Amino acid sequence: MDGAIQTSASFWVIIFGYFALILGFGSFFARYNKTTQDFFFSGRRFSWWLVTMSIVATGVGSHSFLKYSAKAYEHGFSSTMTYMNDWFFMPLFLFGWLPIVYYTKVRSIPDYFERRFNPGVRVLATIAILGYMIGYIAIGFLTMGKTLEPLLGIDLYTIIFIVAIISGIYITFGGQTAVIFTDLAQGFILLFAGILVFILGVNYVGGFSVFWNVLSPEFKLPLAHFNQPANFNFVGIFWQDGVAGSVGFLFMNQGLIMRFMACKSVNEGRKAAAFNVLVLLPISTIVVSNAGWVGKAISIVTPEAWNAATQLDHVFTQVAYLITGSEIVFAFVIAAVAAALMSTVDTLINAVAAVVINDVYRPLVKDKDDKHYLKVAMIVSAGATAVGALSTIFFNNFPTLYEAHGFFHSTMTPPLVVAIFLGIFWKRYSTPAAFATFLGGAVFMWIGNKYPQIFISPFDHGIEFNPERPYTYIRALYNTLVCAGSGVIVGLLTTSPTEKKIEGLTVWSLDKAREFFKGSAPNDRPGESIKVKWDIKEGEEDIVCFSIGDMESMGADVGDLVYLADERKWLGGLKSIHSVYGEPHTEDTVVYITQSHADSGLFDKKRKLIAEKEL
Amino acid sequence: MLDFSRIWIPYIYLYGVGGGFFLIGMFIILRSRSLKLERVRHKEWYQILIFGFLYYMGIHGLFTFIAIGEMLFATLIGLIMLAMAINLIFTLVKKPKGVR
Repeated sequence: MDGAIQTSASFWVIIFGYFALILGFGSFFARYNKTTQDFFFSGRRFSWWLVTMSIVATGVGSHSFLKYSAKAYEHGFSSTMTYMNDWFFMPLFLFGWLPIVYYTKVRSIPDYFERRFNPGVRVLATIAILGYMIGYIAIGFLTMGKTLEPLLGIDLYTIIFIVAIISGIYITFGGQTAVIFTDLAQGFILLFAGILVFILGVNYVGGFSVFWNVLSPEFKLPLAHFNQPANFNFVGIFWQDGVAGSVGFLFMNQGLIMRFMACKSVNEGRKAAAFNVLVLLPISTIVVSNAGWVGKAISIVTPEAWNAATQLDHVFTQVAYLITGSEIVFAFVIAAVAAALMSTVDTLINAVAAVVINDVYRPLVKDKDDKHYLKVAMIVSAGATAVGALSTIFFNNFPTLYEAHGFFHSTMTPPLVVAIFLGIFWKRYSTPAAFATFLGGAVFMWIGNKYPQIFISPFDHGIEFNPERPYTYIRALYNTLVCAGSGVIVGLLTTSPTEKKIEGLTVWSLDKAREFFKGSAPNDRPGESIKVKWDIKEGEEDIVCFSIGDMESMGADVGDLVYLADERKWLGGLKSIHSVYGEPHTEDTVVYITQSHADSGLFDKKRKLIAEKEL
Repeated sequence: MLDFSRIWIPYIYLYGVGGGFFLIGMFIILRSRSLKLERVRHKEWYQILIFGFLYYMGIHGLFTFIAIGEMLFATLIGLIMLAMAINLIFTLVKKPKGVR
C-alpha cells in the first residue's frame, strides 16, 4: 500500500461535523413523509431545478471521483467520455420512457413489467434490478473504503462496515424527501469542491499555461484511442458506458426514475433531465476527472512531490492532500466525496426498499395499512445496506474501481435495458419474447463469458484479448446483441399482444396513458398559471374550487387535474398539492381547499398559492 | 503519434453509431406521435433535442481541435455553438400569447 496520509483530530472533527450537518438537513425534511407514496416518490411535487440538482449528487457518485481520477491520471482528458454520450438516448427517454412511467403511475420498474407482460416477467425484472442496485451500492461502499483507507491506515472492510452503519441509519429514517433535500445541498457542494480542487491544483503546478503545456496533445484529446489498450479504449467504453451504462442509468436506475417521478409534471421531469445532460454533466465530468489531470501535471512538474507508489484508486485522495495546503480545506474536499457516497447510496437504498416493498412484499402480504408498509420499508432499507456492504468483497477483486464498474455495467444492464426498450417501443414484443430476453440472454451471456474468444471476439473491434480479464468493456455489445436477438426472434415467432393489453404502456399509445393518469380525456386547451388566496371549505372530498374567471384563465374544466404550490418558487414545490377542479364559484383569485389539503401541503395562511392546470 | 485515425476515428464512430441511435429515437417519437410538432411546447422540445445533439458534436470537435493546436477551427466551432445557443434561447423565450 502507498504511504498513509497524516491527519490530526481537527480533520476528523470537520468530517464528522459535516456529516452531522448534512444528515440533519435531510432529516429535517423527513417530517414530510406521511405515507409510502411520500417515502418513495415525495408526492410528485417538486420543480425541475430542485430535482436536477439532486440528480447531480446521485449521478456524480463517490465512485466517480475515484474511478475517473484514476483513468484521468492514466489516460488524460478522455476520462470525460463516459459523461458525454447520454444525449443519444434522450429522445427515447424524454418522449418514451419518462411519460410512460409517470402517467402509468408505476410504483417500480418491475411493476411496469407486470402490466406490460405478466407476473412471471415481473419476478425476473425484480431479480435483475435488485442485482443491479445492490451492485451499485457495493461499489459506493467500496469507494468510500478506498477513499478513507490512505487516511486511516486501517482495514478496508472495517471502514466499509462503519460507513454502512451511518448510511443505513440515515436512509432508514429519512425516505425520498430527505434524500432529495440532502442531495440538493450535496449537489452544490460536490460541484464546488470539484472545481476548488481544479483551481487549487492548477495553481499548485504554477498556473494554467504550465498545467496545459506540460500535458501532451494525446493526453488532451477528449476521446481515447479507438481500440487500445485493453483496459481503456474508446470503442469498448462506448458500448459499456455510453450504451449499456448510460441507458442503464437513465432507463433502469430505479433511484433516478423515482427522482423524475417526484417532479410535479412530465414536463418538469423533461426539463430536469435535459438541463442535467446539457449543462451539469459537462461540468460534472471536469469535477470528477480533474484531480487525475492535475496529478499527472504534478508528477511531471514536481516529481519529488508526487508519491510514485500511489495506487490508481488513491490518486484523488493523494492530489487533494497535496494541493489543498490546509487540513481544513482537505477535510472539506474529503467530506464532499463522502457526501457523494451518501447521495448515491442513499438513493439506491431507498430504491431497493421501493422495489422490495412494491414488487415482493405487497403482493405477498396484502391488505395492511400504510404504516405497516412504511415500517417494513425501513427494515428493508437497513437490510439492503448490509447486503451492499457484504457485496464489496466481490468487487474488490478488480484492479481498479473503473474496471469493477465496467464489468458490472456490461453484465448486469443488457437484459433489463433490452427488455425495457423492446417493451416500450415494439408493440409485437410479447411475454414469451420478454422471457427469452432474460433467460435466453442470460444463457448466451454465460456462454460468452465462458468462451470469450469464440463468442465475443467477433465483436471486439480489434481490442486485444486479455486472458485474465477478457473483453471487460466490449462484452457489453455482445451481451446486448444476444439479449436483443433472443427477444426479437421469439417476438417474431409468437403472437403479438393485443392492442388492448398494451394500451398506455408503449410509446405508440401515450395519449391513452395520459387519459389513464387523469381518469378522463386530457384537456389540452392552453392556459396560464395564476396566483390565488386560499381558504378552507367544508368536506373532505379531494376537489378544490376556483372562480369561473380563474378557471377560464387556466383553460380548465371541472374534473381536470390541478397543481397548487406556495407562491415562493424557491421552495421548489415542497409545499404543494395535487387535486381536481370542482364546481366553480364567483370570487376571483380565491381558491377553496379542504383542511387535509392545507395540512398535506403545509400551506402558510399568509402566503398565496400558484395554481396551474396539469396535463 | 497523432495521425488522422487516432484523432478522428473515435469521433466518427461516436457520432456515426451514436447518431444512428439518436435518429432512430427521433424517428420513433415522431412516428408514434409521442412528440407532436403542432404543439408549441413539443416543437420547442424538438428544437432542444436537435440542439443537444449538435452541441455535443461541437464540444467534442472543439476540444479535439484545441488538443491538436488547431485554434482557428476551434474558434470557428466555438462561435457556431454560441450562435446556436443564442438562437435556441431566443426561440424558447419568444412564445405565442396564452401558451405556458
